[in-house]
Amino acid sequence: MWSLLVEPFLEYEFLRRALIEAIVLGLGFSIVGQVLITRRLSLIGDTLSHAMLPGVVVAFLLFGANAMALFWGGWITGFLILSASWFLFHRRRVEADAGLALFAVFSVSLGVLLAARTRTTTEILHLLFGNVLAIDQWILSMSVLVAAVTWMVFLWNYRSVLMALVDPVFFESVRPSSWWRVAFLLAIFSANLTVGFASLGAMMTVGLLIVPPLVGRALGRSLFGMVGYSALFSVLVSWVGVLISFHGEVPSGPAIVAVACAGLFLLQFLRLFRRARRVTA
Amino acid sequence: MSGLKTQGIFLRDRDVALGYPGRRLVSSLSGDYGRGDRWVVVGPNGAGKSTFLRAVLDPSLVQSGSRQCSVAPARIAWLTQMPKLSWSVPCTVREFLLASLAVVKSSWRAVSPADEKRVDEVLARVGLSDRAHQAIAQLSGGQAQKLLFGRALLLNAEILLLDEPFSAVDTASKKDLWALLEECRPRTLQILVLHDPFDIIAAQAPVLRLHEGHSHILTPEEFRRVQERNFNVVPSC
Repeated sequence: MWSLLVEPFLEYEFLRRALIEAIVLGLGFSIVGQVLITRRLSLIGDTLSHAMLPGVVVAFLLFGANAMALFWGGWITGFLILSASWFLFHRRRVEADAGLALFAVFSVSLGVLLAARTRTTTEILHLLFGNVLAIDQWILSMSVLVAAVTWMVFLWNYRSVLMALVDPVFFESVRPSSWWRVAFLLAIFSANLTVGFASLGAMMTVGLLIVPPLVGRALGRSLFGMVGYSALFSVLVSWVGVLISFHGEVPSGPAIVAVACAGLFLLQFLRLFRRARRVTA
Repeated sequence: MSGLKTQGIFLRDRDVALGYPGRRLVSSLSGDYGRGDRWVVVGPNGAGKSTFLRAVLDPSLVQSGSRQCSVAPARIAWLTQMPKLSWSVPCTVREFLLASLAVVKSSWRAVSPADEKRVDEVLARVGLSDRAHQAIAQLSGGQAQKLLFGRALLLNAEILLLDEPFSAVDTASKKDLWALLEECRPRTLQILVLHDPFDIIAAQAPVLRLHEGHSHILTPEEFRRVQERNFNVVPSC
């Protein structure tokens, strides 16, 4: 058992780093995902991943396949798109998802045009769908930093976050959004997603962003409980997912997300089963 | 602004028109509304009653004229018929009040033991002590109203905006809410949107009637007489 579950991580450094990266991502996502689900913006990650293309292409053209440059390119583009759709939503009363979709398609089309001129499309697409088993050291450090900042902001402002989610009308009326606070929060969101894209790939990031928070919602009895369960669950599925990908020689991102989904289904099935037993008893 | 407040005036309208872009709902509103006042807003659906309340918090709805409000947004409480709370985030009644306080104080270590004591006092005052650790999602319509009222008391609200506060409330809760309203009347400006003639007469307050973009004011006696004439009944309260 030990040799199956723990030894691979002691033996191979790349596996250890992949596990750490997945866990760190999961910790940050357990907060970001919870907020996105409550605000009904679950698929924002998917939209944003494509919308980051022009920034990534430009960074690639200027600096080549350099993880740091690609991260900055993606982060800044994501931040600009989120800010623009936030502006439309709050100042022009355009629905949040409609504004985001508008800027996202604009951005994707720009990105594809840029990429087409450079004939490096496949390389860039490969970069957009990262590989956690070959994680770059710089991205790993960045992920740790981003998750730490996300958790600090959450714990520091726990009650404000709670009120912003439970009663947004009250929150907005008492604390009118100042531009720097909005910019800071959007930068954190965007950074979380970018480190996810760079290491897990776009689609799998959405998986890790949504599934553990759903488990948290099923089990948690408070906001903190929801985030806590979600973080615990993502640690567990990262570990199992990376192991499956190692032993079964399959890609790591899909392994983690598939395990997470299976875990969620199993959990809900058990809850249904328990409820049924309680009703018949 | 502060001059207005020292005179006890919370809201001063001079020829104000309210509405949304491309749609004007009410015009030529003028008047001073201040501490100890209670106003009832009536009118058919779509006449702009809720907009009248909303515009106190959202100045972008004021299309022309001048409106001065001497009360900070944190001191304006908005009690809707069905509070737009997100029930999917678990939050207990007590935590809801503590979080509201934290948002207003907005500083690190916002909530002190003294604040927690005040929260418990407010819960007792609005009759929700036994529900303190219950999730807000499990509250009934009347209890949710009491919770919002509790928040208004906790934050020392000076303007209370009540949008059909009794529509989802049973008779006993309604009585409790009226008692609370009466208790804060000397300190606050209360603006109520009401439908039921019985409630309107029970409010014992001037009535602002909005109709097809215009407004006129009825005294409680005038409103009562109109009711008698139109329906030939005298609601007794």
